Amino acid sequence: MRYFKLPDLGEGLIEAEIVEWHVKAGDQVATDQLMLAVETAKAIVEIPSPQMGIIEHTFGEIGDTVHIGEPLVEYQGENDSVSVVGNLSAQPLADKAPETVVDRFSVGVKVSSIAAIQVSPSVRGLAGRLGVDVGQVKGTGEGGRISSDDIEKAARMNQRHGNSEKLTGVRKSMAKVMVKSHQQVVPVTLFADVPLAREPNDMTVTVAKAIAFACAKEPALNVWFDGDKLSRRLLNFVDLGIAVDTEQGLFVPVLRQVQERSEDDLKAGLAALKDAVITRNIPPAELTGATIILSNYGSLNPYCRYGTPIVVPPMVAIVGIGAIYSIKDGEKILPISLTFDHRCVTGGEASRFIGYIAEQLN
Amino acid sequence: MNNETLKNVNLVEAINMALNYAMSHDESIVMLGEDIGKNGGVFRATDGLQEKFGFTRIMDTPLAETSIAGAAVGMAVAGLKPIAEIQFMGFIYATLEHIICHAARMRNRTRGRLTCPMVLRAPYGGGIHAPEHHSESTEAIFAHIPGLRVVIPSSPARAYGLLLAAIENPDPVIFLEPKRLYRSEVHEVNDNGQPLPLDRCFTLREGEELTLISWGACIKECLAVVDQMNAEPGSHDRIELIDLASIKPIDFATISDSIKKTGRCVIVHEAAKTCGVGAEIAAYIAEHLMAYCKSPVKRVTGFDTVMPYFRNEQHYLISELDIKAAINTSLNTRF
Amino acid sequence: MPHKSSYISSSSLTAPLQYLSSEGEPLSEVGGKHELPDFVNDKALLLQAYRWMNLTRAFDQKAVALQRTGIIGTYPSSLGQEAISVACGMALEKNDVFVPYYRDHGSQLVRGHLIEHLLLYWGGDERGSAFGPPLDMPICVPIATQASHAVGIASALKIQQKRQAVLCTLGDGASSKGDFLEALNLAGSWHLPVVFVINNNQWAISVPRHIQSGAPTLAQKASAAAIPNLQVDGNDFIAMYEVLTEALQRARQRKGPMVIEAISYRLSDHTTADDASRYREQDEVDKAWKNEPIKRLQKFIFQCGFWDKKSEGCLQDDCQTQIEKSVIAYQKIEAEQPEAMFDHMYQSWPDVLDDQVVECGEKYKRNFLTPENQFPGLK
Repeated sequence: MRYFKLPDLGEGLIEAEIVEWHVKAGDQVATDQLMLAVETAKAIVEIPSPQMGIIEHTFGEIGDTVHIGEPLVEYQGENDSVSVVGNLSAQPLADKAPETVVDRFSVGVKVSSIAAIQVSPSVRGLAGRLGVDVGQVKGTGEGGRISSDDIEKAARMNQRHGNSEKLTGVRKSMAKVMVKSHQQVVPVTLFADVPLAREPNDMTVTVAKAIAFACAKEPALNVWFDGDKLSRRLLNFVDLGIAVDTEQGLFVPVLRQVQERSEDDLKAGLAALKDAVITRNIPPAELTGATIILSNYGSLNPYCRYGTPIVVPPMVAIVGIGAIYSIKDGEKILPISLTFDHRCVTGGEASRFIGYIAEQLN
Repeated sequence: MNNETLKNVNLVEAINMALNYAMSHDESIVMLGEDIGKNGGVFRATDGLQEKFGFTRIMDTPLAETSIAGAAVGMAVAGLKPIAEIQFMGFIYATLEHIICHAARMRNRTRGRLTCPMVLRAPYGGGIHAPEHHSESTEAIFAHIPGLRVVIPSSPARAYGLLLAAIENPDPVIFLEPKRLYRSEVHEVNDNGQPLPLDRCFTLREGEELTLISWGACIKECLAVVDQMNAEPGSHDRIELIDLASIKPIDFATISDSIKKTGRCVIVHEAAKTCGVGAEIAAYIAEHLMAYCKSPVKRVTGFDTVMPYFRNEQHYLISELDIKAAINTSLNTRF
Repeated sequence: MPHKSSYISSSSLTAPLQYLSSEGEPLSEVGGKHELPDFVNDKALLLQAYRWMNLTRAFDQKAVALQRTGIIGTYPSSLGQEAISVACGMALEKNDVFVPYYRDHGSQLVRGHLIEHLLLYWGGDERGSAFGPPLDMPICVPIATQASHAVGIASALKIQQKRQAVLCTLGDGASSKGDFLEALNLAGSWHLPVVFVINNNQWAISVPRHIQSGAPTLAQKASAAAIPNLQVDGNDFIAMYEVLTEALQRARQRKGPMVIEAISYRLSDHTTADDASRYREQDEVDKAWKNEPIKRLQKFIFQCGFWDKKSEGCLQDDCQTQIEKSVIAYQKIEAEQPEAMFDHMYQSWPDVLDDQVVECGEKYKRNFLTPENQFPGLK
């Protein structure tokens, strides 16, 4: 209890005069410890404490008359739960714990970008029993809803031809990137047969330097192009994406600042990147931010000469080089296939670009 | 953000803050209820308000819930914006005739000539070791009545924003305050008078595998479970936690988007099971979202009993383990 | 000012305030207690009252007939209680607020409701409550709940510092309800500008007054709330009008609430769905007719020289004409579109529930626009 009031002293007595205080504010009292003496009409009565506690406040001075029910002593205690009924969690109003909880919330919900699969519970059950992954089935119902026929067809397909394999990792990203490119880019590929002065040690590195030279001379092919806003950003450096073929699929790590690095440096850098790709240690940052790409598909197969490599936005050009071949008089020819995005690059610019590459190689 | 308006408050203080803000900016807002004046309300929700706004605007009423609601209807019709407090939801039943027959219908039955922009506030729910009748969760009664809005906040910030919105709303709003959360946590709330939208859900945690829907005090346990499960090593965020907040009308658009994403749903409410608001959500999912469900909807609710007195109330109230078990069942069940 | 002795005290019961005998003769002339109030010299006022009372009764009779012929729904007749409602209507000022129950047709007519609007309400169309003085409450069916609303409105007027009063009517049955007693208590505690008029027509459906309450008067229930109260002969227009104007003026002057018990008799069934012959004797009804209000006022205005037979004939014709015109106007009003039920549930219908509106349209097509019309006779 918080307040101790003058109890009924019996015998019809309704009041008493305080004669002596044995305790004061701040004192710790034990149950039954005498707190004060009061004088009634009949006698002097010692009043004990009904509970253990610390005195917060005493009421009345010596000589004061107190009536039954009036407070004598206030105990310190937990702050009351500040509710008339029940017992709220202890936190009092006045004095709050300083640490606050962070309340994160947003209105509404984040919608998934993936279209949801619609299949009724019974059809789901059927799919489970037939071992069909509903995520792999194309629904022929309204709104793409998957029916039991669809499930059964998929089950037969799996039986005859084996389960379909879901694309993951770089294969999956390649599919997505290529679709996006196809939707946006307007590609033109120029083919060139460039005579080589000599066959270089490292074709990729030599061509990389040649590309950097060409970019300086014809900067229109080394830009980032925003197809929505129709704006382009001319870049004064060449971060060259190098297409690397691995078991998992196509990686395009980026050789940074090709324009100012020596061939030896580039060679070492390229080796390091390839190593990182093969050992699957390549950090994601090294796979982004290219300004132009080089794809040396000729290195994979001596018969491949020309191709129509794909431009990846926001870049506007990709240089493909095939296998070197010799012509009648023994001259070595490097076949180059340059695809450019005709939204942003003109044929003249592309043509001159190849010319600058050829100049460097010749 | 103006740092001067940022305050660290618990839920009941946030309520007080919202009432203070609203009343400071709109003279037509008045309050009536038992013990709300000098005493500041039995939970101190109106602490200090009578001192600031006076006896005319903060009215202590005689002990008469029926006429508290009836008078509020009259005041609202006559151009004031009354906020009536019913001391506990257990005593709200005496107001039903006025709320259902009059407040909810005033606009409709006069074809818009008269309207009833009132708010009826009450502490609701159990878990504070209160005497009997002081732990009611019968929001479903009001949720059933056409013409009403029913709102239940679950955090100080949402209590603040939703109460401001309820006061501003031109239609009658039943605002139920989960008393178990009144003092449970202190959050930073911006006392800038910004209302939150009514009739929208709030996403507290995003997830991809299961949608957990709840409201009121149960949000506390749900948050604990979700944060625990989403933080498990090697797992991405699995559980999406939605605070329904607006019990009537229900923001089914948000629920729909979430279920389409996750395909699984667990609904948690303290109120009794039969015809609880969870049943409405489950019915909606069955009607519209069956094809997106990967497992049946699960409800975690109170039993169809009177809530036990506080000695045994933990056998009724919903625990974190109860919620976790339901989530795991749902995740592991397939059609 | 009604004589102080009219006020009920616990120690004395006086007769209800009355100025005219049941024959329409001023009691003061036959040795009665009180002088007639001054306004009895106002011919225009008395004739206005008389016209309203007659129009009320004519409307009432027509309404019963319309119910019996299926044009409107269940209707509560106010036969024999016209003085109460007309006096209420006339004592109210334009800006005062009227909070009726469901037997106040006379007051509503005086307050400016058109007959066709009353017919709209009783004919089952919500638009019936969309008209009239902007703040007046609509007809109230849940018994006595209007008393709490009246108190709320009076509080608002007081808070808004307006000098307007609220008049709340209720029946003898309603005086038993919690809402009424709570409303009195609040009105007394908060000193509100509200006047309650109990139309004690002796019957709450089949429950007679002496079963309704053990108290000798219903007015004295207000004493528990320290509200001045008195009984008035409800069929005496002069008495009713005097008491009401004083009470409302007093309220407007912030002198507090008052309760007036108007003693009358329900000459008709409770509603058209009731058959009073099941529970009361015809003699009692016949006897009550002797006290009816229109005849009393008629006799008085004849006596005063304000009225004659010719005028009487014209008035009755005018009433019939007016009513007939209104009935035709009412019947021309088409029912609302089915989707109207969604229009006023909220300020704007939550779009999350729009599918229900669409369903409503489809339901209408399915049930009403197909060849197999399932509801012949209903449009």
